[in-house]
Amino acid sequence: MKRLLIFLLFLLATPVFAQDSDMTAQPGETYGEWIKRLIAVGTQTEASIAADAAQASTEAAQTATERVLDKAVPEGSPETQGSLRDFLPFFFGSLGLGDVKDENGALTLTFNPELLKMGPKNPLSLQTVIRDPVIFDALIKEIPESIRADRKSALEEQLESFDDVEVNLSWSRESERFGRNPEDHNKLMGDLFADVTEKAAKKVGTTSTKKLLDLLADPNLDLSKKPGEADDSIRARLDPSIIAAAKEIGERQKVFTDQIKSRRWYELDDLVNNQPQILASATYRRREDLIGPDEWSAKLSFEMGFANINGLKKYCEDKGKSESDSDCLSDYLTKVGKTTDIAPRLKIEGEFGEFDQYFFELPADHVSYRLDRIQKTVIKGSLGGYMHSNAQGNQTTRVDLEGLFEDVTGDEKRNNRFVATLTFSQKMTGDMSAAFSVVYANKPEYLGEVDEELGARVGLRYKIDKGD
Amino acid sequence: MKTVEIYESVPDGSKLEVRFGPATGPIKGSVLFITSGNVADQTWPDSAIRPGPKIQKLEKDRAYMLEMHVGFTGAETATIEARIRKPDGSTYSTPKSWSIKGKKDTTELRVLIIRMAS
Repeated sequence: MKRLLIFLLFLLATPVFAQDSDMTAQPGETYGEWIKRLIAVGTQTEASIAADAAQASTEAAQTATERVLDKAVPEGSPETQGSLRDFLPFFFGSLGLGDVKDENGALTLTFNPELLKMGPKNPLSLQTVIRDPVIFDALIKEIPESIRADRKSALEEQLESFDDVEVNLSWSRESERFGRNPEDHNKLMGDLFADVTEKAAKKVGTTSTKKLLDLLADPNLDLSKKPGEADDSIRARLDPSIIAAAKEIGERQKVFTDQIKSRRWYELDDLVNNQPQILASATYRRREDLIGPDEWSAKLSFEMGFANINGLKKYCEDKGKSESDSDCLSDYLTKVGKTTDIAPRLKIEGEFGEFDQYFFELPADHVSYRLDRIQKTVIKGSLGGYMHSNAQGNQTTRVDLEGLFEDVTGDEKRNNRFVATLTFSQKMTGDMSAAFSVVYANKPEYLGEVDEELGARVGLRYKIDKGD
Repeated sequence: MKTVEIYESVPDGSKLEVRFGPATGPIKGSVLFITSGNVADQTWPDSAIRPGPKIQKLEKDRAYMLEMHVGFTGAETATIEARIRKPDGSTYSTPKSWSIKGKKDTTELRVLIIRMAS
């Protein structure tokens, strides 16, 4: 009974060679061709079959990692271009200073990050946006209507190309502890891949392969001969060695692909994506008086998932294991349990900014316009994750809790305003999804638009998105 | 290039160079290097072979087998190049090179057998 069980297990472990007759040399096949065919058939994986089938299809889109360098172009306004503005993109591009985009009435110059040397762990992004100048709308409205159009035309004559310029500087941290660049974890991911290779080799062994290599080490052995042409003594040693080695190599490959999955090597990508990320940015916008007040702002954000590479390293260290030991990887992922499926994510963001005080007058028309200095403070926090996956393993139900505090001097709608939102999202068939939110505000006037009011400070919002 | 390739009659003292590519991208590689006789197997990690080259001296009266694994964490075309340099530094025979189109969360294997000259 035990022998039968072992035999059945052996059959299960070597599914590729259904019959030993498949393993014998085919008519007209040389030893070299035979070895190549057997090993190739024995090591063929689901992945290689799938890869061949996929060759005709389009290549899947690369997973985008959030990079600080990918900044959106800010909004712009109408078109009037000065000559220097026309030439600037040409000079900027031809000198290799960076990329230029001219759209929506704004010329955006993004400096080549190579020129901003703070090392590979501190990528910087410097961007200058030159907007087409537009007269400050609030100022125009202060001019009596009877002369407004004339004055506006006269003031527009005074506008110049560089009257509205914004500079953005962004920084992020990309290292083994911070940031989501997979390249920062090449060594760890590569060492874990090698560890699985080594463990699969140890589990299956290389005895039969070495036995074949011992025979192939004889330079007088002619692999261009067909088995029928070889001496009986050679055939007696070589033929069974080829079959045994091919089986062993096939088995080793099977164990390797199984262990890559069971030790959850592919999930390393998720752990990288959950690494803490720090982003900081500062913006200064200088405007001539005709266009509006100067303004600046600074933003700092921190984001992380809860099962990540830092957690893996700490776990292995605490257990006294090497971080490149695939046993430790699978133990860690077992310990964090469903955290990788739920993919909880925490984000905290703070912003502080100021609009300068502003004064402009047209004495002849007895028009003056004044704005006090405005300070803006925004603090935002969010925590979200997936609650449920469907039978296909696609995450379908999500919950997000978001808290927002903002205080803007002189703005009654944003004076010590706090709003908390709890949102449930459910993916439905196709691209259709539904969202249901409970909203709380610290003052009734801060609640905003809701579909149903449950009280002065609490409301409900629901939305069905039918997709495209 | 076929899944399995064989180098025949390689001169004693030649050096094998193995490199995986691309240097950046969603792939990792490893090589199980098996030598005939009573020689311990070696495992070459990604950092040794990508971009490489990993250089290995080859001795007469031996045969070698390389099991070259590529793991894909995203869609990518990986390359493997194996070249043998004779003791005088010139290239022996034609370098073996594989271009492997892989999908996310799959692995591929290529095998190289090396037989030495007498």
